[in-house]
Amino acid sequence: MAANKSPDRTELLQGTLNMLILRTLLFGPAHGHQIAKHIQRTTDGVLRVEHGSLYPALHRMERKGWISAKWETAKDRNREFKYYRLTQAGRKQLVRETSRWKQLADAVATVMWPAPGDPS
Amino acid sequence: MNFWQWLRSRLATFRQRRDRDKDLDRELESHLDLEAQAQMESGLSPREARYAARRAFGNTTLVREDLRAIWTRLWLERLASHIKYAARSLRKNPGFTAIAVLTLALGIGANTAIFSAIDALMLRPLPFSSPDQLVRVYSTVKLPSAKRKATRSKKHRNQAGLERLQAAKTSLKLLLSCVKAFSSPSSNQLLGLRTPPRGI
Repeated sequence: MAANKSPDRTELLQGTLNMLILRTLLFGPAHGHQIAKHIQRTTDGVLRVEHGSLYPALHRMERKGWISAKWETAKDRNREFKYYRLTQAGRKQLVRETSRWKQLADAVATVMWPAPGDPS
Repeated sequence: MNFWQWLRSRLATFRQRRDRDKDLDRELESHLDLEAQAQMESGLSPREARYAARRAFGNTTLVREDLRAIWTRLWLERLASHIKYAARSLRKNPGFTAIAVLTLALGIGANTAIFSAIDALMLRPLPFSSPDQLVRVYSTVKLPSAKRKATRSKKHRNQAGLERLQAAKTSLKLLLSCVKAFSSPSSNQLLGLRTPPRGI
């Protein structure tokens, strides 16, 4: 729907959302809205997290024990938000997913931009 | 698990589910508020900002359903509601229920009866070592006929009973000697029985 409006917006690849969320939480605890905003801002709006898929992903990871959730009062405003935190298992998962993603990206890169002198 | 424990655990699950539902609502609500605020800062009226936030979020109900599916075994809940519905409709139509139950009971009963008869008569071999070699031996000595029963006096009847008993004894003795003649060491081995038959 909204994808048609902004042509520069890239759909998140299946399975990368978890990795992006885990990486974002490496900076410290954050609530859902902050996570979505952070991903959007750091990629200059290229990657935009669908809010409807953000929360299911968060809850699924919470259930798997990669992140933990707690209601806490925000520092800048007088209101409680549900903050997510990376757990030990989450850190391990982030390492796993990062190496898998790197492998995939390298593989795609070698197909797209073969090294000079590579027989093809 | 006794009834009270069961009830308590059910209540606990129920409360947990309610709490989680509340938690989900609260989380989604706070997200929508933040999004609306962000929209307002970019110049929309509060009302429009609210709408924009909802639009950006997508289908709230669907997301809520997704989240519930993550935490609960949704198929179990659905199965439970199906069973509940079946039980209620059965209770609503007692006539139908009675006929259905009766049909099932009769069907199962008849099947069981017929199968046990066939199993005992045709499928299960006789409990002897070589049942195909089994022969039937019976005496042709005629017992005093039952006509005597018609005799009026008690003395006569007793007499008749005694005679029948005597006759039965003789024929049994005869039978036993037959069996002994057929088997070399004992009649038990002939039939392959573990325990000896009751003495005659």
